[in-house]
Amino acid sequence: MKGDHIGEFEELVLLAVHGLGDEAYGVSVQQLLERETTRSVSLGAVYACLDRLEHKGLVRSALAPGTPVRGGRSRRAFGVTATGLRTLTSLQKLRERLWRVAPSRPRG
Amino acid sequence: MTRGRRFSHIPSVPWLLRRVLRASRVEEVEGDLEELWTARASAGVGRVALRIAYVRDVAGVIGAAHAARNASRHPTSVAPADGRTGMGTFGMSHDLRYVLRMIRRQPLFAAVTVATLALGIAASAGIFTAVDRLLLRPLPYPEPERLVAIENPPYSFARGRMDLSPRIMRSGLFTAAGLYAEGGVNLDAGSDAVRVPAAVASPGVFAALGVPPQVGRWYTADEDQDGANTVALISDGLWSRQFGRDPAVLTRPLHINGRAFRVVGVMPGGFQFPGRTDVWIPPFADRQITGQAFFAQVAGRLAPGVSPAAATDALIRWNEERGTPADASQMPKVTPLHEELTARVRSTLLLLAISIGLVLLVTCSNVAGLMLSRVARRHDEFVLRRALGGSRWRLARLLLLESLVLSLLAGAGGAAGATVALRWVAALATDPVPGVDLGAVDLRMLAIVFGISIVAALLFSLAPAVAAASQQAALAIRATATTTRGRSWRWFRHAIVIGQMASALVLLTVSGAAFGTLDRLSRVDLGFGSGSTTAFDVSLPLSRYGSPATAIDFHDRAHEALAAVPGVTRVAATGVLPGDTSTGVGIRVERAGQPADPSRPPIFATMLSAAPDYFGVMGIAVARGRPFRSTDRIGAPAVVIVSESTAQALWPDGRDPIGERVSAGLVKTAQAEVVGVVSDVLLRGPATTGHARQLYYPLAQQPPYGAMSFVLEVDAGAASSATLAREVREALRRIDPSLPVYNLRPVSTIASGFLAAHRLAMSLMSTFAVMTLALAAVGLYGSLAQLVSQQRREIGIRIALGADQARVWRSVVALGTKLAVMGLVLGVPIAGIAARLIRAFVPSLDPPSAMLMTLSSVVLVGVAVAASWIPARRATQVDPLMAVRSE
Repeated sequence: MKGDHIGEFEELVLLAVHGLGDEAYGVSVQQLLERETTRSVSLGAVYACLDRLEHKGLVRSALAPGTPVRGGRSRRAFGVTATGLRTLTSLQKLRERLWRVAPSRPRG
Repeated sequence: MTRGRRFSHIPSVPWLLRRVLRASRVEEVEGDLEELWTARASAGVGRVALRIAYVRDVAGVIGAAHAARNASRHPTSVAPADGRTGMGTFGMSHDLRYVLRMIRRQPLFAAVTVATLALGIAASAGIFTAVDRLLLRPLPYPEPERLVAIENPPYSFARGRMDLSPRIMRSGLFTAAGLYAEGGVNLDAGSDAVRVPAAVASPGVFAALGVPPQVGRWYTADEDQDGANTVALISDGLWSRQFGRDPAVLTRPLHINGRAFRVVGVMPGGFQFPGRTDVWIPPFADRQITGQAFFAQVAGRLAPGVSPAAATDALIRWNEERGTPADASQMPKVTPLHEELTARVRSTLLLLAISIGLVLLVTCSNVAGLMLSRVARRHDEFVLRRALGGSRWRLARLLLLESLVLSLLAGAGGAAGATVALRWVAALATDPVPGVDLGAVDLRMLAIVFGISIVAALLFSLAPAVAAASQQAALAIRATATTTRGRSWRWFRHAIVIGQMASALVLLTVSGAAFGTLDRLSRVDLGFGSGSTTAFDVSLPLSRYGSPATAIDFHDRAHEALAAVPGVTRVAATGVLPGDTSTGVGIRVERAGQPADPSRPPIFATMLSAAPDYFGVMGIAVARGRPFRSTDRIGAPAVVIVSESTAQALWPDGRDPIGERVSAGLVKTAQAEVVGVVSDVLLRGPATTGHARQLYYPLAQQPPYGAMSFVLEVDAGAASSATLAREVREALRRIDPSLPVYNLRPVSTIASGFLAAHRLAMSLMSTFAVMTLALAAVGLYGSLAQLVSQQRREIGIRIALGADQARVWRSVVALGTKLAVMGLVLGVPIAGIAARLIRAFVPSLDPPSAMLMTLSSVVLVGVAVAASWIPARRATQVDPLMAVRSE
């Protein structure tokens, strides 16, 4: 198992779930990622990723009531767990440290 | 478009999702899919893009579900870390992306495969559609299996009219039966007269077919008479064109051949019997349409439970009871109507269907060969995948997916091409079978052919894939270092090549035989020339041109007017031209004053009328005596001209017939002097030799009945054909504006028309043969090229050990030739059997000669050597050092 290590896509999905708050579910995550990364993200990939994140204990899910726009069908709402939040924070800190290592180089 | 409407269009696939997802997740996934669809739709995504995105979503979901299932089943396998995948497990959409990448990387391979398959699909779907529509599908009438054609039924001639014997209806064999014959009528349409296709049909025909009119009713037996109160049925097309679909058509008169008919009904659209017909009239309403004699065909509906054979037997028994002489050609015969109607195209279509089946077989095997060589080339990749834990099923799936993608591309191309192919076939069946539409390709047929191709490609690509996948990884890796790999596939490929060579030989031989037959027929002397001559027909309504005098007067005036048309050098007329659908009348002819010898069969000749210049304009040679003169008119001594065959039959002792007297027809006292002998004319085309007994009367003594054909000798280059046509119509309009000129055509088209169907079938056959030959050559080339690239090491070692290049070259070409010869050994007997089988249903096809067989074999071996050339050259260029080191 990969343990706490998560890939780039997993990190993005985890961040999206965190950012969307109560509104995080398959479609909203997919739409947000597609809008922000301007690359085509498949719903299947998002599902697979969310499943893995849940398996690793980084997110949790619960069924929530549906809206008319989805024909009243229920949706699976995701939220970031405490572990997930810790992972995100540590990843962010890692990045910031690494940026500080090379302060003199021009960004981009 | 509103959101609501888009909503209604979302394709629902719960069954699919339920198969791959846990039940608890189906609802939420469906909800997500619908929400995405709506979001995209309201963002203005187009219909097609919307669907593509949807399919992608569904595929992605299925892929993810699969991956999740695999991950839980093999917890140690490498789980994909992100949207992309590693070697272990990956979803269908990834496979698809991988396959597309592979295809893009080798565009030539993809192009050849797709083109080959598309061609095969197009040709076979087109031909199979035609076969299905014309031969297999039942006629579009209720209970079509009970519809029959009746040959030589018992007739009655009561009250001077020919009709089916009333016994036939009393017999209980048939529930309905009637006479019909095709023809045409002049229709007075306002200012202009037009010629429309028409038919006479007794009420029994409609009752037998069982198709009621959409407006009005059928006419009845009581209305079948030549009187004031004549009736007609019209087609849906004529109702639209002439009456604007006005239901009041039943109260308005229709002027046919100068007489008023009452329309009693309008047949529904699509009703075409016999052939494309606009007007139906009862047989005795107008004798003109059927010509001098009533050559009727008979359609009937069998009573329930009566078979055609039983009906035939019953009719023959009647004949025997009445003591009618049992002449085989005069025997009654009841056959399914469908068979009778398709008799003309049946054999050709079957021949084409069998040929195209062979082409399809070769196409599939060739695609399989291409796939195989691909698999062989990627052998190392597969071995590596297996070693790294790729499952057998996954490897097979990759290959299957690749075949599938290529097949789908080919199918799209094939669908487009099939329409073109069908148009060719439609041209073959110039006179389509009644009620059969050859317009569009049958989607089911396309799907079937497509399916066959896909299954074939899949099967062939699966076999080696499974073989590759099932190899023990360690063994396989070791095998890459040796030359033994792929030996079994090689034989598989060689077997395919041999089969292709055999198929090519069969098609070459058969198409060669078809070409030979066409060549022989096109050399047959038809008895008439086709210089710069133009012909056209006019129909003379009996209401105004009923007497010989009026017809002769019309001819004289028309002759004068046509001769004055600029560019026309000579004018002549006759009753029946070669190639006309209506035959001349066969009459019995005897030597005058000599009672016929009862022991000898009577001599019948086709009775024709000819104007003085007819033989000259038509290029019919006058062998003896003289042509007709303008003085051979009513009142002058009766004269005739006979064809050579007639002369031989009448005077077998070979004496000069000039000056002899003959009597012909019913009036035995009417004798005429033979003034000339002309060459035989094959009125029905080159395949009808031996039916050329003709007896010509001067047109001014015996004018043709009802219709006249003019032939014009035109000064070549004087005027364009369009101008000539206009001038001719104008000249005739001045004489009688109610007479439409029709069938205006160069006489040369008459001769070419006889062989048009033969020519088209032949060109299709040879196209198939060339296609097969090319496919076989590609197959052989591919097989040898693969062999050479596999044996680089061996070849390198041989060269290093001192084998000269010529020897290496020879060994490759020898293998190619060996495969071709094995194909010949297999193909020659098959071609012989095929030719015999084909002759059974295409009697006009000459059997392939030994010469032709030899020629085809030489061509085949030549092509094989040519196809071996490049691989052989490549073999000689192997650098021994490089070859050995590269392994």
